[in-house]
Amino acid sequence: MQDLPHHYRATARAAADSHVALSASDMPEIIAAAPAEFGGPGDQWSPEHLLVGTVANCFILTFRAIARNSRLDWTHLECSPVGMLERVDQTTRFTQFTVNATLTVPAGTDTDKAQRLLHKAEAGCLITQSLLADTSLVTDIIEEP
Amino acid sequence: MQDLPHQYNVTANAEFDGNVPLKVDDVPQLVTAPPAEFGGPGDQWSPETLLVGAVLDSFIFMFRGISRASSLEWLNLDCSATGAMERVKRANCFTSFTIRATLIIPVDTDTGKAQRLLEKAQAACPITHSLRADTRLETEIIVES
Repeated sequence: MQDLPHHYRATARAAADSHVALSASDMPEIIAAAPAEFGGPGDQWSPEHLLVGTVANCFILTFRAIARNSRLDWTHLECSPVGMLERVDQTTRFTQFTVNATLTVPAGTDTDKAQRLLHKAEAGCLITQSLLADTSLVTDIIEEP
Repeated sequence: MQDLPHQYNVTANAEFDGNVPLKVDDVPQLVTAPPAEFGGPGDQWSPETLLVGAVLDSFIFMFRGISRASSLEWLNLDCSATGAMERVKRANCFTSFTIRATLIIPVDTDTGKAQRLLEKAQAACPITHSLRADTRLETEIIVES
């Protein structure tokens, strides 16, 4: 890991009526639009979905690093967070994230250890640490036959 | 706009190694990976850059809605955002965001009003309201010649 602080940058360009083209250095461009909930088309990435996506992505990458350090063998992880957007104190913001994680491990794996590492990943995720909302983790550990 | 609260869901699937695809219903899949700063390839969107992108997107869509409601005509909005990540109380998290917005407006447009609406968009943005970090806005308004 490079020394902190890190500075992450993205750029976006929009006309009065068009999708927004989001880019960052060498990364593929993302076409973004308002979500269907705000009258958008619902077929492009919205800011709200990007935020929920970062929670999923960060949880998985944090778990991957923790599992490697703790020598936990696993085969598949599905993470499906739900973010709740509400009006609180005259502002609209995300108030709650429920992170649903389904981990598949080889037969004979210490499932208690797997469970502890999933919770450690949730507690160590830098995106949820950066958010005001509460996060709850719902886990399901499947042992391969 | 649909009545609040809204719920947003994204699903990510991962193996022990490799990129992590993010999926939402009919939206094109988004491939993610750790950033170069954490030893990743640097050519895919990471949780860190996606969060900065979500801040930027949300600001643009908010400005578009507010400018439409206030009958402000504009031509282009080019923005960049930087998020600073630091170690605070033994956890890595984002501590500040800076949005730089360059708005191009037709001649005879009220630049004071344009400035106010840019600031209003930043103040109303649901993504920045969801973050612990402060967000600073730097603006440039160019009148088309």
